[in-house]
Amino acid sequence: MEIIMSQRQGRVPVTVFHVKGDINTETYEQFQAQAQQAIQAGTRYLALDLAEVSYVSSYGIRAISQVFTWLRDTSQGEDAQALDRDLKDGKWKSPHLKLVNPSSQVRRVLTTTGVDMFLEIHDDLQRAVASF
Amino acid sequence: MDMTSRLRVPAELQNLGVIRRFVQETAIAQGSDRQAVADMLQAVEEAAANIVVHGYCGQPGDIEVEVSLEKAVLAVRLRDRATLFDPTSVPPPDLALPLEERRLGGLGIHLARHFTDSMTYRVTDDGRNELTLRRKIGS
Repeated sequence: MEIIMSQRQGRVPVTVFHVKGDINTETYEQFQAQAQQAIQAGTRYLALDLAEVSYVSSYGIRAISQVFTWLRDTSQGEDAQALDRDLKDGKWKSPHLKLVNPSSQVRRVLTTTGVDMFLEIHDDLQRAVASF
Repeated sequence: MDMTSRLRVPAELQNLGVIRRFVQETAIAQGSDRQAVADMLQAVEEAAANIVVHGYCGQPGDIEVEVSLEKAVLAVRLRDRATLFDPTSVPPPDLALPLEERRLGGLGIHLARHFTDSMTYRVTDDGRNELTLRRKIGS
């Protein structure tokens, strides 16, 4: 797996991870480590471009969830209890992490595991960046 | 005519790619369609990772992988000598829980179940776990 990082400017500065390869048992730690580095370097809004990802396993789902949690924890002033309640009700989507261009196979994994309940999935990177 | 191919590898995470490639190349050569193979690969990766991580728990051992096409059904059998465990008995995860509170094994088995038509378990005559994943081709 390879991650090419770029910066886009929407209403807020957005880091884009263009991921190439699979996010699975063998690669999820590398994925998490690179996301953690970016967050430590100041990233608060992250778009994952999955156009070149053919496969995401449950370990990949866990890793994406971990990145979601890190980004949520960096935000100040959000009511944690209200957020958890709305998350369970499916009324809340992360303002910090969005997914872009998953293949139909990867999209099925995202919906089967419930990731689409708290992460927006976009078909166009430019619109995804603008939506932050 | 049924066709069967078999692979045996050490149960290590770095061999999951070897297992995936074997299943992919064998299933395609046997006549399975790409969608059936893609779905099966999702299930096989989850099941094999569970055997390595939760079954053998880092102890040495083997995984035997058998791929066959049986009357328009792609079947993959995974056999191992880890502690006896029936993954089909694992209940589906509660998707209302935050992901960090869900069990990892449960999520993988949920995916394996979702991407196949059936998942069955038995203990072989020589005392091994055997998980059989089946996916219809051409659907």
